Amino acid sequence: MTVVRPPAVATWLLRRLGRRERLESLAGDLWEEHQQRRSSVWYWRQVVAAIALGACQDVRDHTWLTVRAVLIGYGVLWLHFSLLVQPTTSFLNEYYLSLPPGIRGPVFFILLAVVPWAGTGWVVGRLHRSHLAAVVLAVTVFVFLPMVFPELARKVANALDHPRYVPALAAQVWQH
Amino acid sequence: MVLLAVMRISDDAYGVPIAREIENISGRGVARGSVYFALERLEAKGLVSSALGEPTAARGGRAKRYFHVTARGVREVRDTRRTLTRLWEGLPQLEGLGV
Repeated sequence: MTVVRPPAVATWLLRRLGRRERLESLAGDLWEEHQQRRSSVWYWRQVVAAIALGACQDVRDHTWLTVRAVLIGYGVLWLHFSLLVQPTTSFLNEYYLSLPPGIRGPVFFILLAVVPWAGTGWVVGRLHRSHLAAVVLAVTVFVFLPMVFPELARKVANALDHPRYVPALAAQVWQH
Repeated sequence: MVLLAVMRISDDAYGVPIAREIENISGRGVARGSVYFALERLEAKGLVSSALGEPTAARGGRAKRYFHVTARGVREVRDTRRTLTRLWEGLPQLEGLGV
């Protein structure tokens, strides 16, 4: 029988970020179904869904750990802005003005949002290795989403409290 | 739904047939991860029990985890069915009278 290997990167991500409980059985099931002519797209979708569901479940099961991760996230972010961004503000302003107008936005988005997000995610992830996906998800939702997309964060908060706001949230996500 | 699927499959109830049973009956796709999370909750409540099988090459050397409904799980299904039946009784919309 020819063995059809599922996408290695997806399998690696599942092992790295998937919820520990039952991970081997789930990975075996996905492998088995992939052998039975399931596509790589199907496999990727299952892996992404499993990581996301596992992270949500972990956040629910380990509330205090999540709170701690979010607080550490805020701390790292505060250090980043007070030790790195504030002292170099004048340089950043000059740099900003020297850039062509078309790429100013993306460059500063990377410098002031993507780099702190990746850095904070890395620090928090290193401190909570067994719940990596959950803490990165929590830091993204509670620390960065409000900072980068405040309107979107407000709608997420509304939707959590009142399901009638879900359509508005879905429309906003669709626009993005 | 997951509990009923485990009952229907009986002896060979592991992730793949459970998910397929739900897909066949509901007619909708099911994320395999969500089946495992539901099973994990059911196991924590004592409604199902599980045991690891032997690793096989067809699964990349990983073992199957077989699930069985416990006596408490069967009682729970029976109680839920009774409750749902009572709720359905006397609904004119479901009897085609009020639609």
